[in-house]
Formats: sequence, structure tokens, C-alpha cells
Amino acid sequence: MTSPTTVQNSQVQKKQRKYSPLKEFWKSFKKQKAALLASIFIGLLIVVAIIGPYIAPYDPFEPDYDALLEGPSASHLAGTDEYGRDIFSRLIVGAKISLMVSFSAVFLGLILGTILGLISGYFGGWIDKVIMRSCDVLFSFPDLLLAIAIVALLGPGINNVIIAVMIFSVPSFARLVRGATLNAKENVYVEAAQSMGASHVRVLWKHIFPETISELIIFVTMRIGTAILAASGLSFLGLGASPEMPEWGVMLSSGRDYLGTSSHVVIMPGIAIFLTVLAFNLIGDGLRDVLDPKIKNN
Amino acid sequence: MTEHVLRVSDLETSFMRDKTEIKILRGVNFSIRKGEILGLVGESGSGKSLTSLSIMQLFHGTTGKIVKGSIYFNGEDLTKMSESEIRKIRGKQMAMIFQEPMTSLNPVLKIGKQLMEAIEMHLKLPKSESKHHAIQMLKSVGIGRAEEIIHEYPHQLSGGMRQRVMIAMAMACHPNLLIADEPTTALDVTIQAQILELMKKLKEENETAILLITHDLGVVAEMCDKVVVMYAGQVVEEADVFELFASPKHPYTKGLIASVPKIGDKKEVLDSINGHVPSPQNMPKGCKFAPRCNQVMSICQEESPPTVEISATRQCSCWLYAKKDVEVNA
Repeated sequence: MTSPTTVQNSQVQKKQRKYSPLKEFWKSFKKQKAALLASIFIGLLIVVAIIGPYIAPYDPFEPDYDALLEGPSASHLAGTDEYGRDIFSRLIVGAKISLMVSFSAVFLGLILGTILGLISGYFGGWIDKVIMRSCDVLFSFPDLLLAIAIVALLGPGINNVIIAVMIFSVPSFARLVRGATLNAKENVYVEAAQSMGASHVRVLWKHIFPETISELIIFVTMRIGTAILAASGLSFLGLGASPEMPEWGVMLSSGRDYLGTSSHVVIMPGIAIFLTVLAFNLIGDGLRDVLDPKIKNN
Repeated sequence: MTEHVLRVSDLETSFMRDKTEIKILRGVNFSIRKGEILGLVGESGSGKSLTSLSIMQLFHGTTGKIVKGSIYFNGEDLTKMSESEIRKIRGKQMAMIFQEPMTSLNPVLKIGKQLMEAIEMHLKLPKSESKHHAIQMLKSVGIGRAEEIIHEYPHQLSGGMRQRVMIAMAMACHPNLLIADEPTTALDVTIQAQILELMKKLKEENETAILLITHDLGVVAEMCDKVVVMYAGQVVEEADVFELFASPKHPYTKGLIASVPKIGDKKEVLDSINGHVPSPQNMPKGCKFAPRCNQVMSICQEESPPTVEISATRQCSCWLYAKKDVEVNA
């Protein structure tokens, strides 16, 4: 069959096949200037975090007693701290810790929360009640207070900060995914898949989980900002990274005493935290505008 | 006669609401033979769709439960099977087509992927063969450019095409029983005829029994061998399709047939049955249809009518016929 219509059809087909979701996404994401700028910033930050130790102008641990608490200058871009260590170098090396802690905590929270949310929303009944009530219990604590309690229980340290931040991320993810699951499972194609003999796991993985992805992507980016704040907060309180580490929260904490005389010691890590969290939130907002079908056409 | 593919006997299904049981199906009986098309008709809320879901045991996420009765499928009772045993039957020996072809395919998966999912799951074919089988199935449902369509997403197809894809998916493993829940309701009339024709053709090729759920009596007349009329969760009349249209027995069936508008009939007001299906919480005592029946007698409001066998192929649950029966016996 090579009638004119089939030829035409296959041409149309070729055109349609060029459509790629990624391209489409990029086209609309490009228009979100703030989010674009923020992602460039985060991109750079990730690069810096990876190659940090190699590009830092000074050794972040090396004290220099000739240059204590110096303000920003050409030789020390962000000044020095109370031991004369270069703050800029410490920020560069610290980026790795902050990003690693927040990424791993959010990622673990995402996995656990998604699984719980899928189970809860899909199966309903008593299992849904148990999971959701447990989440409610966790929700009833202020985030940071809960994290403090967990770290207090487990003992201070970076790994325990990750666990603490993960635990308080889980309920948010679980609730989000449960909501999306409740929506998705009403689709006729879910019933159709069941009527074709698909198992629960298959239905959940192939037909329901993909429905939750767009919401998850948005939420993950937002959550990373929160996680950085929480991790810094814990370190600030002395519950996270050890005092000599160039972690941003630790730097804030140790600079606190010099706030009156050499405020740059606190302001520089403060700006780093602020910009990073802001960037993640801006990306989240931008992604929401692009991915959320409810506001897509505006 | 050939053996029954499906025999539903005394099926009762209920839902739980606020810890009270609400019975929706109250004793449904019917059977389908190999290669037969059984029409299940009734108003909205009469329990047609729930009957199909009960057969498939697709209560997932609801509080629905079969409380009584049995469903024999190829001689085995489905109500006594475990979830995993039923899963093996679903899609392979028993498949379903849904009313809404626009929503019954997953919008984010390619047609081929969705078709092959079922094929790989049940027939355990390697990927290349299952792809070949998928294309074969699409061709058999009259989709010419099957090789291209398997790379397309559902939104690129029209409603009629999607329903063809659904049928291809349902027929992929050559099931013994196909449950079609209002398969043509959402399609326009010309496509409707094509889809019905296709189902008939596939039935003849594969000797599949079809349970056709519809409220369109035109479709019933066109397609079915046998008709079961349901009202308020019960079968009120069962008959051969010709007998049913020639001489409906139950007042409800009469009302249904009279309600079909006829082309060329210049009526100001269409015929209808007064009132509506009673809600499951306030079922009337006695015959469930009594409040709407135009031939109601005093006994109808007191006792449920028995099922009367009028002829070998014909049953009706109505006091009108039970009475005669009594008189004849006396």
C-alpha cells in the first residue's frame, strides 16, 4: 500500500516523531529567566563542589596567624576567619559537604516517602491509616526540632544529620505521593491494566508512579533548599559537622562571636546558604510553572 | 449444546459504607456458552457494570465484596480463587473492554508498549515475537498502519482507533470470554457499527463468548443471541433476543422497549418509565419494580416475585406470570 495518503501519513509521522518531551520542556523552561539563572548557579555550584579542593586558592584548614579576621581584599576574596583561614576557600570546599548532605538526605527521603506514599494511596484501608497517622505524628513536630531530637538520640555527626533530615522529609514526600496516587488510581487505564492481569507492583510502577514524577521533581528541588537550611542549622547548633570542618553552618556558628567586629566572617557563609537555598527554590518555582498541567496554559 | 464458559449463580455483591453493608447485586443468575453473545441491559444503577466487575473481581480500592453465590468460569469457581490465581486468568482467558476509549489507554505509554505488556505477561513470548504478535493483533482489528501505530501515543489516535486498540489488547491472548462494558457508547454511530462488526468477526474467528453490557437496545438487537434484563441488582428477564423483542414479558422490559424513540415518529413527549431506580438503601419490599410498574398488583408490594420459567430459553421474575402458573397448576 503506497497510496498518496499513506505517504502523507508517514511524513506527518516523521514530523511528530521529532517531538521530544525533553525539547518541549527545555523550550518552556528557557522562558523562566529566574529559574534559568538559578540553575546555572546551582550547576556551577555542583562543579565547584566536585573540583573544590583543586581550585581553592588556599588550604581551607591551614591557619595563617598573620592574617586574622581580615576583611575581603584582593588576596582573600571573602576575608579570613579567626584563625586566618581563607573564607572563600572554605566556602568552596564546604559546598561539597552542604550539597552532599542535602542531596543524599532528600534522595533517601524521596525513595522511602515515595514507596510509603504509593502503598498508602494505592492500597488504602488500614495500611493507609497506619502510614498517614505516623506521618501526622512526625508532622506535628517543627522540622528542626524533630531533627534536633533525632540527632540528639543518634549522636552528632554528618551521617546522623543526613538521617535526621531524611526522616523529616519522608512524611512530606509520602503525603505528596499519596495524593497523586489517589488521583492516578482513578484512571480507567489503571483498571484496564488490572483487567489485563497486571500485578499490583506492575500497576504501581508502570501506571501510577509516572503520574507522580512531575510533582516529585518540583518538590525535590524545593526540599533540597530546606535540607541545606536544616543541615546548616544542625551544624550551627554543634550537632552536625565537627567544628574544624568547613561546613557552612559550622562557619556561621564559629563566626558568631566576631559578629560585632568582623561581620564578614558570618555574612559570607550566610550569603552562600542564602543564595543556594534561594536558587533551589527558584528552580522549583520555575519547574512548577513548566510541569504543573494546571497552570501550564497561563 | 456446547458447554458454558461462564455461569453466574446467585451472585450477591455489596459495598460497605459506614460499617453498614449495602447490597447492590441481589442474586444474579445467567450463563454464557462458547461463542455466544449475551446482552446485559438495564438502566443506569441497575448493577450491570458491577456484575462485570464482580466477574473480573476488580474491586480493588473499593469496599466491594462478593458476599454470596458463585461464578463458574470454564468450570472453576472464581470466587474461591486467590488473587494471584485470578490474575493469571485476567487478560488471558477473560478480558475486558471499557466504555471510555479516550481514557482506558495510558497517555504516557506508547501503544505498542501497552499491547506488548499484556502479551509478554501472559504468553511469555520474547520481545521480538511479542512485537510481531502485537502488530498482528492490530492488523486483525483493522488498523492498517500497525507498524507505525505501535510507536505512537494514545492522544495521536481517534476514539474509534483507540477502541480498536483496546479490543486488540483484550483479544491479544485469545480469551474465552470478553466482557465489553458499553464499548460503543462513547463513539459516534458509524464507528459504532464498525466496532460492533469487528467484535462479531473476532467472536466468530476465535469462538469467544462475549458479555455485552449496554443500555442501547439497538445494539442488543443487532449483536446478541441472548438477553438478560437487570433491574435493581436482579435479573428480571432472560430471553432469546428474538423472543424478547417480539414479546417482552416483564413490565420493565416492555417499558424499556417502548422507551426507544423511533425514527419518523413525531411524538411531542417520548415514552419513558416513570420514576427511577430505587437507591440500594431504600429498596422497596416485595418486587423492586413495583413502585414504577403499570401493572402492579397488591402481592407485588408484599413479596418478591419468583423466577418463572416460561419456556426453555426464557425466564421472568414477575407475579403476572407466577400467578398464571399457579392457576394452571391448580
